[in-house]
Amino acid sequence: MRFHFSRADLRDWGLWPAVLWTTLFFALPLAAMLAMSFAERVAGKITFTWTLANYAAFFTRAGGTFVQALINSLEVTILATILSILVAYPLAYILAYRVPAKWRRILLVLIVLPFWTSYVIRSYSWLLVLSQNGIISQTLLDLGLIAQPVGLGNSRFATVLGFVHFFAMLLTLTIFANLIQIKDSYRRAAADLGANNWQVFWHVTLPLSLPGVAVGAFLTFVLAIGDYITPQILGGNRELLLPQAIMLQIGRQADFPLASALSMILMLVVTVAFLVSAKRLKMERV
Amino acid sequence: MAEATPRVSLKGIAKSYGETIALAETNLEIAAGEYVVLLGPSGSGKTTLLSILGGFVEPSGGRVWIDGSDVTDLPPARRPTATVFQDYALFPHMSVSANVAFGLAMRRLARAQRLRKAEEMLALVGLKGFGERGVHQLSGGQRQRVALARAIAVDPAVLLLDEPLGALDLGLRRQMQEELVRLQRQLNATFVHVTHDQEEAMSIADRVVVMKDGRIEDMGSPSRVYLKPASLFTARFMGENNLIEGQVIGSVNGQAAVDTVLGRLLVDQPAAAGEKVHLALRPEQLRFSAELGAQALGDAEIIEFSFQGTHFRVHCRLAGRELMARVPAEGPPMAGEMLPLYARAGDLVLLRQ
Amino acid sequence: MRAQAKVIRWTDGVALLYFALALLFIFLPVGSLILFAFQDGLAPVPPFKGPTLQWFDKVLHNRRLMEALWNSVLVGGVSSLVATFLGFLAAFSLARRDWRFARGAQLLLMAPITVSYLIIGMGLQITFNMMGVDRSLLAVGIGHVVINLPLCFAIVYSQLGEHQANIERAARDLGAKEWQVVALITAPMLWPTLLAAYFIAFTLSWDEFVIAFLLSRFDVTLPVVIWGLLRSGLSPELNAAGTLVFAISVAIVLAVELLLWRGRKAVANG
Repeated sequence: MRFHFSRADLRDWGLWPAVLWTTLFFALPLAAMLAMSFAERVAGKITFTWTLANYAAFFTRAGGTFVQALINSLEVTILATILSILVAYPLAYILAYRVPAKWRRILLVLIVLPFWTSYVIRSYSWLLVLSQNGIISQTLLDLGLIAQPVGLGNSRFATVLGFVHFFAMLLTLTIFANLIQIKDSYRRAAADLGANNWQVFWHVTLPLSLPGVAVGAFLTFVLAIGDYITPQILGGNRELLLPQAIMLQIGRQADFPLASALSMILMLVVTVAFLVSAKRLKMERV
Repeated sequence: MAEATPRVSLKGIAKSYGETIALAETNLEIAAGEYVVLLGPSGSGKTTLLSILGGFVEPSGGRVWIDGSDVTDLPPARRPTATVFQDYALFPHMSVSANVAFGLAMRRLARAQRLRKAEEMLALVGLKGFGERGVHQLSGGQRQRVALARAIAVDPAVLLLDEPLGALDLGLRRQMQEELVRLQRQLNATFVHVTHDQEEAMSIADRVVVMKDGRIEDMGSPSRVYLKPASLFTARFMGENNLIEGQVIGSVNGQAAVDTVLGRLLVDQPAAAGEKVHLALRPEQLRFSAELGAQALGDAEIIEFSFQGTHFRVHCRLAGRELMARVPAEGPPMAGEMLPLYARAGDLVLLRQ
Repeated sequence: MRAQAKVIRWTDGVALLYFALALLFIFLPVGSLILFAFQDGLAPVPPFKGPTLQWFDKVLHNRRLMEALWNSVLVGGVSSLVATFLGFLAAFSLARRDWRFARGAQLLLMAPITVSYLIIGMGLQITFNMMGVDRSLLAVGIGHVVINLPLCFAIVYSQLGEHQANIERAARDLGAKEWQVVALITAPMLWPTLLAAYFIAFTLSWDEFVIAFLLSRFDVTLPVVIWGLLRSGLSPELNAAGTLVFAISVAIVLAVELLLWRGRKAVANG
């Protein structure tokens, strides 16, 4: 009878397969990586010597290349996050308050449609637009604004642009979702009490929409700082971001211990970002 | 009373959404210091009227005057009105005192001054010392008071209250009704209050405006509207009523004689012969003896009754009509018993279609 | 006549302009991708010459691309099925029973979302290496279940409200066995949600590159092949391949949108 009970009641065992899967194929690999980050590669063989050499290498190896990669990553990611918010907020605001309700859904679908292009192909598409004989260069030439073709690809600018393109869509969604949840009566009450449009926005709408901004900004930061594809395709090899550095260690060098240590550092940065934004979110609620 | 400029004057105000008429052409004047209640079922246009007054809804026609100036084209921010919203709309990211001081901050009052005023307003609504709390720490009744304090803090010429007590439970609602009246007297302010609760309307209003289908059906003091309703709808909507159809035979000395299923009845109102009318009589106005010239209606059979504390509510039948009566608590009725019914000409109300 | 009719605020014009510019920004890369897929020439850059279908023809006859396409469908199809199934089981169990460690379990299940695909892929690579498991499409599929499970779980969990719980209670009350409750009540009520979760997972797997790159060897998925083609620079053939991938993704997304819309309508009518 007990057997029957435990077999039949999904509520009792349904949780376990997913937990098992996540433990086996997510938590365990992370633990393996953590262990690996303390290992050493001697003559192509990996031995677990519990050394901090890989973390030391982060600071010292190749004249500080890795520290510089982290700094580059942080700069690019923070810049991309801020620009994405600046692009997305007005868009979400217009969508929530200026667009007639019946148009909202279709416009929303339209805005996020390119979200569904393959990530690799989206970066490639920007390469098309930014290349020396691409659309932007050609248009500027035709307008007589520049004399020589300009290649905008293979640069930090291109990487940030690619990020902003992708994450502005994401942020538009999270901010929009937040804005339409703000009760209409808050804005009406503010207007009723003498606030002009600007004051309504500054004192009511903006503070109440900050949770949506924080969620979107956090996602943007996390996804962008760990992304390898966009900087690899659009940034060229002018500068190295941390994911590129990690990939180099696995690919060309097959140095898994160092790659693991770099990954742990990347995860640490993300954790700090999470704690910061969680604190911010909690403050907003009070 | 001298003909002073009314505080509020609505002239020919109307609102329609496409084909749907939310508010037919309406005129209404409200005196300074008056407590007016807009009463009606949902869809009666009472909220539309309030929203037009507050500037949240643009009228399709007509003008709104406040203190002699035309405010029809002014946005809510620039009207001398303040609204207490149905859901209170307290800003969740601000403290109680920041909420109350919000309107003053928008008017660029110095910080110290507006905090003092906020304290004053909170004391007025019985929330002294609550200023530092967050809105989410308050109970429903306390939120209601904060919303009130926030609205009166800007010294509005007219305070608009949109079903302000709808979210409170019954006991709290009765208590808040008394406080609203006290506050209104104390400030000598003009309140316009929307509700669908006729008991609430009667207990707080100086004047009740009964609305139905976008029109004003009746308007007057609560006792007048209750005892002498001007329309069939009002008679039905304001508490229980017995309604009897009849035809006018003729009028003598300002009294009409009306033929009904209960026989020929005299009413203290003139009417033209042949007119089809309704006679309305409150349950508590049905009498059981021929005192003071009451007219006999006949013996009614008691069908069922329920005890209401001060009286029995009796459901009885007379000449195939069901009537509601109130029997004093001392004389308990019995089902099947016959009850002699009488009505005074002065209590009967003659209503045209 | 009426105040609102006569005031066309200047901010409306600004809003419209901003919206138009934003759409231009959003569609500029995809637009040029699609346009130059029809380029009658060797370089997918202006001026536009064409249109021609030769690049699509070439893509459709590229055996490596077509094999990779099939691999992608296989990996996406199966891994999404597993992710949706596991996500549903976990969501149902968490929503319908009081677990002492419910919050911890939720955190664990959602955690992969915050970790870079690169790190997840590398961790799996290291682990499989240690266990002596070879890189393969199966390994890629396992990785894709890891990244999609949190999404599927969250989507289903958000839809398992009290309303459904009451209907399930009613069914139990009427004598339905537990498996009957799930099979006859819960799953049918949730089917638009489950399908949406499945297809969202599918598009993400379909697009995913890093994990597929790290965990596959001889049989590879479409994004990995496209990545390889990138090395030879801009080419209309790449545009055509990208356009096809985009078209398939959009078709799936629109199908899901339609599905959810009809689901909502059914709920609204029912």
